[in-house]
Amino acid sequence: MAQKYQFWLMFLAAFIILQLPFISIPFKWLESYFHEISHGLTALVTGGNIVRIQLFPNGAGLCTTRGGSSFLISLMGYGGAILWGCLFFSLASIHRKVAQFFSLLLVILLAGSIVLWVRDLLTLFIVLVLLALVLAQLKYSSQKHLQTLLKMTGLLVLANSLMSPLYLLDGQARGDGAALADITYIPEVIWVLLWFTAGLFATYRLSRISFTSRH
Amino acid sequence: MQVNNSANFVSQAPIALGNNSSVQAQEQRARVAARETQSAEESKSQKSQLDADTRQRFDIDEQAIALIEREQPSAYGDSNNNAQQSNQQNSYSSGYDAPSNQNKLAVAAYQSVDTLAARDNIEQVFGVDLFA
Repeated sequence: MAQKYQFWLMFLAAFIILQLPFISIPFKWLESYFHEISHGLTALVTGGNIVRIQLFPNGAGLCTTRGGSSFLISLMGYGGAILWGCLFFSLASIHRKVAQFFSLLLVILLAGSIVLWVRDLLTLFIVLVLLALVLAQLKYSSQKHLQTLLKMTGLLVLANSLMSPLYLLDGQARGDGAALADITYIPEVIWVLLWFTAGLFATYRLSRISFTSRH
Repeated sequence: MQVNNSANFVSQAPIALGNNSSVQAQEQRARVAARETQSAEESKSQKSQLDADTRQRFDIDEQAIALIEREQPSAYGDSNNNAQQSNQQNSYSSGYDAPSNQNKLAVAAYQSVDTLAARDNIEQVFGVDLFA
C-alpha cells in the first residue's frame, strides 16, 4: 500500500520543487529543453531541419526550423515534453542498466545539441548546466539511486509540462496553441485542454506502471 | 570799509576799538579768507560738475556695455546657428546618397560573418519557422 502511494508522493514532491524559487530553475530549463528539442526532432522526422535552439533563463525557449510539417512540429512541443517525462520514468523503472544507458543517451543528445543547434552563449550555458546535472547523476549516484533520480527527473518534466500549456490561456494569441489554431481553425483553448488531458492521462498511466512494476 | 560777509562780523569789533593798523591787517586777512572760501566753493562746484560729467560718461559707458552685451549673445547665437546650418548643409549635401540605417545594419551583420558556412546559416534563417 505504501508503495502505491510512493508515486503520488514523488509527484507531489515534484510539484513542490517546481514552486521553490531557485531550485526549480534547472528543472524548468530541462522541461524547456525537451519542449524545444521535441519541436526540432519532429521537424527532422517530417523532412525539415533544425536551424537553431534558444533557451532563456526564465524557462522560455525558441526552436527555429526549416521545412517539415508545421502542424506536427507545433503539436509536439508540449506533447513531446510529456512523452519525454514518461520515457524518463518508464525506462528508469525497467532496470538499472536501462536507466544507465538512457542517461548516456541523454548526455549524447545534450552534447549533440550544443554542437549542432546552439548558437548563443546563454543557451550554451543553460545546456551545459543540464549536461552537468545529468553527468553528476550518472557519476556520483549509485545505480539504485540513479533510477530514483531519473524517475524524479521524469516526474519533474511531466509536472512542468502538465502546467505549461495553461500559461497559454492568457488571452494573447501567441505560442503553439495559437499556431495550431491558425493551421486548423480549432480554438487555442481546445489544444490547451488536449495537452493538459494528455498530461493527466500520462500521469495516471505512470502511476499504474509504478504500481505494477513493484508487484 | 564795510564787509557784508557774515564771516567778517568778528573782525568788526577791533574796528570799533579804534586800532587802524590792526584793522587793515584784519581786513586783508578777511579778504584772503573770503577769497579762500569763495575759491573753495568754486572748487567744490567744479568738483561736483566734474563728478556729474564723469557720471554721465559712466552712464554712457554702461549703456554701451549693456548694448554690447545684448548684441554679443545674438552674435554668438548667430554664429552657432550659422555653424549648425553649415553642418546641416554639409550633411544634406553628403547624405543624399547615404545608405539607410537598416541597410547599414544588414551590411554590418553580413560583414561580421567571415565564413561561408555561417553565411549559409544566415541565408537559411530567412524563411524559417519559429516555435516557442
